[in-house]
Amino acid sequence: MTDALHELLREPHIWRATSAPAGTAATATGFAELDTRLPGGGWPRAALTEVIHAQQGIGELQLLMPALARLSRNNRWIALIAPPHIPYAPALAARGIDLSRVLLVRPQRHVDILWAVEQALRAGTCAAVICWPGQADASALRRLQLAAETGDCMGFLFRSEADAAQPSPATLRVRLRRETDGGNQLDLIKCRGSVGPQSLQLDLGTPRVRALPVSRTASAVRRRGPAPEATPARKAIVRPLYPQPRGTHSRVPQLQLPLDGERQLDHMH
Amino acid sequence: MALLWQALRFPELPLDVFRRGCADEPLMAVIDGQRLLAVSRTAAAEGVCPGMRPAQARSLCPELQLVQRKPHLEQDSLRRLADGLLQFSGWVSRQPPLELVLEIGGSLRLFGGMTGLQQQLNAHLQQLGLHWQTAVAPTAAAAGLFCRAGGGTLLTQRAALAEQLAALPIQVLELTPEQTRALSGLGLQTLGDCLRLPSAELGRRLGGTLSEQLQRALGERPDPRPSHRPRPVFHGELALPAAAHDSTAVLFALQRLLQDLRALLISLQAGVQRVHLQLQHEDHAATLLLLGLQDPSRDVERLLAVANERLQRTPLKAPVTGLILEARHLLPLAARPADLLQQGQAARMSWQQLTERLGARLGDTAISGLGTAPDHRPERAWHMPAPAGDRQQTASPHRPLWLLPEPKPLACRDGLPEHRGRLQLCQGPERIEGGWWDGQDISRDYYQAQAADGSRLWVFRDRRHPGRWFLHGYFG
Repeated sequence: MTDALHELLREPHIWRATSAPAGTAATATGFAELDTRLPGGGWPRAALTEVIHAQQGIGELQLLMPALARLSRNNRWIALIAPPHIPYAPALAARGIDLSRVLLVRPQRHVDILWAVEQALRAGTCAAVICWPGQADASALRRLQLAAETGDCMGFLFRSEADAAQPSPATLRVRLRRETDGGNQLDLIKCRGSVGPQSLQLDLGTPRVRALPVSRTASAVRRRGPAPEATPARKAIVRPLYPQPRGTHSRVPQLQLPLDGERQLDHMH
Repeated sequence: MALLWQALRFPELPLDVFRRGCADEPLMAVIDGQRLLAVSRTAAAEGVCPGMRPAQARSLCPELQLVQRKPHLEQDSLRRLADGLLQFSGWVSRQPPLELVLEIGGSLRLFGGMTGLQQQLNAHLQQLGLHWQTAVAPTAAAAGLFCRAGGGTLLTQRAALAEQLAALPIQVLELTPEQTRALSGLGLQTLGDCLRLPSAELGRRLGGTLSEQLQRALGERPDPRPSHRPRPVFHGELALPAAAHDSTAVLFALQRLLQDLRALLISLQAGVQRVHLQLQHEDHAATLLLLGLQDPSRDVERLLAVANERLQRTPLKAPVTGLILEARHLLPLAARPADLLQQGQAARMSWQQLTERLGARLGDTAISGLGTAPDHRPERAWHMPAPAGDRQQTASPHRPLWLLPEPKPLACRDGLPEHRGRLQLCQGPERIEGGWWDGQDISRDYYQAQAADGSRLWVFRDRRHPGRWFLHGYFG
C-alpha cells in the first residue's frame, strides 16, 4: 500500500500542494497583496501562467504591466503573440515598458499561433511571452509548459472563462473579475506550491469608478452644481465642459470633467 | 619563418561534386569519354571499377547510376575550396584539375601549431563532404609529389627532403608517355634512381621538364605559384544525382553549399544578409527562394533554420535535381573570436534568429516591433517598425492598453452610447482634434466609460457627426 502510494507520488504530473516545487523562481508581480499569496513571491519563472477573464477591458493587461515593465529593462524580449486588438504603444510606454524590447507577432492561421508561442518560449531570448492562443488542448499546453521550462521564459496565456473548466498543466491559473465598484477580484484557481484555491481583492491602479451623472439638460447640471471642494483628487469634479444654451434640449451629454482640463487629468493615475 | 607547403589533392573530385549533396553513399559512377572514371564505394562493392565500359558496369550492377563527368563543376568546386582555404593561409594556389597547394608556415602559430592547424583543416574539409589526400613539405612541388604518392607525409626539414623524395615512384611526376617508356627502358623506377644521374644528362635524354620538376621539388629552381584571389560574390551549384523528394534531402544538400559560403565569408571577413536559393526541377521552372536575415551574418545554422521554415511552408512542386546558391552582396563583418564565451549560451537563440525563424514561416509582415509616433490622433500615435533599435517613446498615461484597428460604431439611445447595456461615462471628455494637414482630419471627444459587465472602454463622440458614438479601445 505504502509502496503504491510512493510510486504514485513519483509520477511527474502529480505534485503535492504542501511542498513547493524545487527551485521555484519568481518575478514580483508588483502587487504586494498578490506577491504574498504566490509561492516564490511572484509570477513563476520558466513556467506557464494562465489568466482567465470573461470580458475585455477589466484590467487583464494591467495585471502584468509592473512585471513586464521590469522585465523589458533587462535586455531580454517580450513577445506578444496573436493579440486580439492592437497593444497600444503610447499606453504601454506609459506603464514603463521599453518598447524597443517588444516583439509583436500576428500569425494568420490558428495552427501557427501555438507554433510561434512554442518557438518564442523555447528560444531563451524572451523574458516573457504573452499570447492569446484561443483553443488549445492539454497536450498543446503541455508542450508550451515544457518549452517555457527549456527557454527559462515566463509564458502568459490569456484564456476565456470557458477554458477555466478544462484541466491545464500550467503552473499558475488565475481568474480576473471586475467588481461593480471598479475594483478587481483575483481567484487563484490553481497554484502549484500553495494550498487550496484563494481569492483576493486587487487594486490594479485604475481609478475607481464613480459614475458621473450625465445630464441631458443644462438645467440638471445647474441644479446639481459643482462638487464640493473636499472631493478627493481621484474623483472627478463636476463642471460643465461647454456652456449650454439655456433651456434647449441638448443631445450632448453634460459630463463632469476634472478642473483645469488636461492638467488635472494628468494627476488621475 | 621558413616556408612550408601543404598540398591537397582531391582524387575523387569528379565523383564528389555529385556525391557531396547526398546524405548516403549513392550507387553511382562517373563516365569520362567511353570509360568509367570514378565509382562510389557502394558501386565498387558490386564489382564495378574505374576503367570499365558503361555497358560492362551495367551488366554487373543494373541499378548503377551513370553520370557524365562535369569538368566545370569540378573547377567551380576547386575555386570555392581555394576561397575557403584562405582562412588558413594567405597564399593558396590552385593546380587544376584536382590539386591545391597552400603555404602554412606562416599560419602555424595562429592555429596552435601543426597539430591544431591540421585538426581544423580536417574538420573544415570534412564539413564540405570531400575526399582528399594531403602532404606537407618544404617546397610546393615536393608537397605535390608526396601527395600524389598517396599523401600522409609530413616533412618539415629541408635536409631530409632528398632522401624522402628518393623513395617515391616515378609515376608521381608529370610525364609524357614517351618519357615513361624511356624511363622504364633505362630501368629507372624511383625518383632516387633519377636523382643519382647527372641532371644535365638526364635533361638531354628525357627532355628538360623532367629535371626541372626534380629541381623544383628539391628547391633548387624557383617555383612561382599564382596566388588565388577570391571573387567578392558567391555562386555555388550542386547537382543531385538522385532527385530529392523531401525537404530533408534538400536541406542536407543546401547545408553543403552553405558551408562553402561560410568558408568564403570567413576568408573575406564578410557576412551576408540575403541569399538567393534556386531549386532546379526536371520538367518545371526552377523554384526561387530568397532567404533573408535580420543582420549580416555568416552563421550557417541561421540560414539553414530560415530555409527550413521556408521549405516547410512552400511545398516542392517537383523533385529537386539541383541547387544553386547565390550571394550577390557580401557585407563587411568584423572578425569575431569563434569560440569565446559561446559555451554557456549554446542553447540560447539570439532574437534575430527567433524573428528570422518566425518570419520564415509566418511571413515577414507578421513580425514587427512596436513604437510610438508623434501625432495627436490616437490611430496615428503608434506604428509597427522593425524590431529593436532605439526609438523615441512618447508615453500617454490616459490611453487604453488595447486599441481597436477601426473605431467601432456604438448604438445610441437618447444620445448616449450603449455597449451590452448602457455605458456609464466616468472620465472625460478629452478633446482630440487635428489632421487637417493630411486630409485625415478628426474632431472627437474621448471618454472613459464603464459597461454594465465591468469592462472599461474608451469611447468617443464624433463632433463632425453629432450624436454618433464610437468604441476605440479597452482599458485592458
